[in-house]
Amino acid sequence: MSDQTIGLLALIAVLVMIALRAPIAIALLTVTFAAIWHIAGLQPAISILTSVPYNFTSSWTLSSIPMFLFMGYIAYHSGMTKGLFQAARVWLSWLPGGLAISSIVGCGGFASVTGSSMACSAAVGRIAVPEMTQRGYDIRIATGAVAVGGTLGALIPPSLLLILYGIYAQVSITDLFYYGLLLGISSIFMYTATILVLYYISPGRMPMTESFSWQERASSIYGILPAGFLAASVFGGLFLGIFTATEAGAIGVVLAAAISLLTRSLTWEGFIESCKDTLMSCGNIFLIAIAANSFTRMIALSGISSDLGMWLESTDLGPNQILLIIFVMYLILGMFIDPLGAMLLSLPIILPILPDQGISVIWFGMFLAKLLEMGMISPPVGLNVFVIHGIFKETVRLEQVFYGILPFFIADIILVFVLMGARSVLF
Amino acid sequence: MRYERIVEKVTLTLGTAVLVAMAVLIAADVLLRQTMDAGIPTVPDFVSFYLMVAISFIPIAYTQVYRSHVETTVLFQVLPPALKKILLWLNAAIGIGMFSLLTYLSLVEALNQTEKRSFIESGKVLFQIWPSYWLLPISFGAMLFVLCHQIWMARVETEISLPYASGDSETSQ
Repeated sequence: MSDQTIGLLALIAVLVMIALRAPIAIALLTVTFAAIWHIAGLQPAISILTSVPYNFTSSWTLSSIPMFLFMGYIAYHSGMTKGLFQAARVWLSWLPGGLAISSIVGCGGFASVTGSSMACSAAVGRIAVPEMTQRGYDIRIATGAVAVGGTLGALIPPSLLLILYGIYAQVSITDLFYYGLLLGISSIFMYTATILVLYYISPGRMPMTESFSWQERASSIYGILPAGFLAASVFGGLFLGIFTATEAGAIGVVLAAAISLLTRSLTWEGFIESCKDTLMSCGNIFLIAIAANSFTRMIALSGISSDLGMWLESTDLGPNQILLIIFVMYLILGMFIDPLGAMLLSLPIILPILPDQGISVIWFGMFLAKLLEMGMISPPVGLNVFVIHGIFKETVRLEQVFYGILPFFIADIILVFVLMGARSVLF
Repeated sequence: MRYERIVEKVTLTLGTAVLVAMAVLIAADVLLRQTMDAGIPTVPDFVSFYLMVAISFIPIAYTQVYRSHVETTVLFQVLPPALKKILLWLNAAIGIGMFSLLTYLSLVEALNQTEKRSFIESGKVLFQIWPSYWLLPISFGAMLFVLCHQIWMARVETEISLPYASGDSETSQ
């Protein structure tokens, strides 16, 4: 059996094991070990399992992941993010579909502090969905807007997907954050435009709500000052070059703790919950990342990615056609595997073919984050959809949330094509 | 469950200490560099070789206590209960096998690095890194212990206690 065949079988074996509920990390490690043993012998297989875990994790750059996670959880458990939706509501309720737009902008603000899609959907959803349904909003639009708003966590800094992508692709995380912020803001505009279109098609599904006085608007700012100050300090310092992306996370933790202690909003229980949530996320992320790094070595040894590159060169496919194939592949992958697993599983195969096709690695990071984010709202897995359904299962059916997602999903597809158009002009 | 709680408490305490130390050290380093033009020596190396290694491996067992390692259940849900049971036991066995191997290999590596007293050059300082290699066998060993304990509980209780059976009620019937 050729090395390429073993590599291909290994890829299939990983997908089968994941489908049969083996944890992603265990599936990757087991298959990697077996495949390298077949390709190069037992000693290289042992060597990979011995060296990769330590060498991969003893990294200065990687420390931004636990730090940004910790910052986000402290901000969340201290209640710093509570006022974001309310402030957005007070400022934007005069717009048609104002509450739905507010929930998306609130999610954007939440994402800039926590970087977590599911936490974003859950936290904003708990406040925004009852508010919308009380005001006569269609439950499908209400839940759909919040589920899709949560996906901004994958784009807006400090997106953990972008940090990991930057480490794997060896590109500047600050650059990724900068373009991620632009893409996040573009997504907010697209979702807002979608809500406006839905309103003009059927205004009865989103009744107009009261508008607020300037005094009320001014006082709503007070509620978001701590979160605003935290995000502005961390990302201001990062984009102005005062500190690096790696250092920004730790500065964020210290600032979040200091703000919540000054405002007396962080209890001891809240602090312990922040630590527990951070550890739980680290336990998952790093084990999968280590396993994916080992898997990358196996893919390289098997020669699959170089063969794929040569095959693509021999065809007449241009970069845009290849990107379309990748687009479809991620839509399918995103239906079954969580975004982190889907990204780390596919990068070893896809990253090596990008330079030959003239595709910017930074641009591809944006493209990838957008596709992975779409996976979080696409059936049958759609993690954000499940989060929202889990909270409101007594009032909304799962298919209603998926129905509510549909217009936003179409907006996402349009944005992906705009992004592909921008590639040839800007990158 | 008592033994798992011990692992949970120890890993939570150590993990919390590592998180706080990492945040304080990096922030202090940045602050000193910005204000006095001189950071704390060896902070990047200490963070990379000790704190990062610790925060990558210590929480693995903690996460397993809550059966929260990422797995996909979408296709699994439609399988017949008998097949589900077999797969849960099979996944648990594969997990045990993999973490036994990782524990053994990392233990051998830790012994090798200790014998060599391995270090790196950090500016003018020789920075010892061999103790950090012990974090791996200890963490993988703790994970292995939690997995074995959960399988043992599944043997005397039901399959719901199996390592990768979180939220699965059907297999326990």
